[in-house]
Amino acid sequence: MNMEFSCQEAVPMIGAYLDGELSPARAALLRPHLLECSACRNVAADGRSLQRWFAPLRESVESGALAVAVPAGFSARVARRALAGDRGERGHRGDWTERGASAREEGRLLPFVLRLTAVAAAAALLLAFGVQLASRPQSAHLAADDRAALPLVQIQSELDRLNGVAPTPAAPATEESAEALGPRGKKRSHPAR
Amino acid sequence: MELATKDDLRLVRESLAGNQLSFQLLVERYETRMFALVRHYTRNPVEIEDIVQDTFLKAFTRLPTFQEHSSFYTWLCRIAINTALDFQKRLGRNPVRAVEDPELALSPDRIEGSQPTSGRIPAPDARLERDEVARITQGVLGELPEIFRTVLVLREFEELSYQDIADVLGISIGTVESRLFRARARFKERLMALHPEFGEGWTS
Ligand SMILES: [Zn+2]
Repeated sequence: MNMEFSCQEAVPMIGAYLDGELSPARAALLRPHLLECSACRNVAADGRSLQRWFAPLRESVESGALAVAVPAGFSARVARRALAGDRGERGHRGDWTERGASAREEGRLLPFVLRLTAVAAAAALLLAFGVQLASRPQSAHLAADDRAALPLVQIQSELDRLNGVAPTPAAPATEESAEALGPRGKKRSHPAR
Repeated sequence: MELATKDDLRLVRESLAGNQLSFQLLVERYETRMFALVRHYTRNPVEIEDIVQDTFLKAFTRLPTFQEHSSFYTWLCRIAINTALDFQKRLGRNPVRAVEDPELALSPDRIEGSQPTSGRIPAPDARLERDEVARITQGVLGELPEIFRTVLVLREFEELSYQDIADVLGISIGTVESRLFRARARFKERLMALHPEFGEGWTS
């Protein structure tokens, strides 16, 4: 094991490594450690598991199953207001509910929104305390739980793949090369890179 | 699915010249993604609509400051997130941040997951439907402090690069990396706390 490079240094870099966002110099530090350290390979495996929790959320929203419906005529309405000089910068509280309600039935919605707001605030407060109480015994329990490591073969092939894509380790990571390195096959392309 | 950048720029220029239809097309192009983004800050459809509308109205007034070499979408994300957070503040929400800034409160040796041996996270059970997994993930995200939720949403949901996230949040790439690390640790911790059943019976 490379004593110059500890698990404590390695672990926080693993996420960026899986994201294809680690600079070649730092990736070069991490790779040999991953090959030697099964605990850190577990962290990498966890990182991949985590990605599998997020992919369905993207897909469900994209497919419309979990999407928020855009109201009919939204873009026309917004464009009209924008060009009419409705700045959207007006400050004080109340603006929000007033404008939200104006598009609908004014009197009935407003009290509902305000009531909902109070309930949400109370729930969030409860949560804030609940989170702190609930988390401790749980992580202690989990810490004691030792599970199978990612097979060395798998991490090696991953490393080979990454190495193959980025043959010039001295070059700085550009967004393009970072995306090419990324573990996800499907990347949304964003305009105006 | 996405039209080219130069179309964004053309629409931006035409909007600046006072062309209402061009701005409408710009809104149309991004409205679905903005509604989905803002959904991470409030579940109330009325509020979501208000926030997205305000986002576009602000964007319109700020169009003269839009830098043509940057991404319109990233620029819009920044406005949307700030608008959503502003909105929470005005309604006196976000008590998590008021009580404790999670990033300050976590000293490095207290960060969950900084030790490679601390608990494992399972991949979603294969028997779960995609939409079920999505709802669980959404529920866990919704419980995270805003600072962690936002960075996770930008990375895992919007799939922005670290540089784009840094631009949206006005922070350094190094901060993006460390905040994402903490956010993922928190997500994992909350997932296991809310759904301990996923921690059991998980094999290799
Ligand atoms: Zn290690």
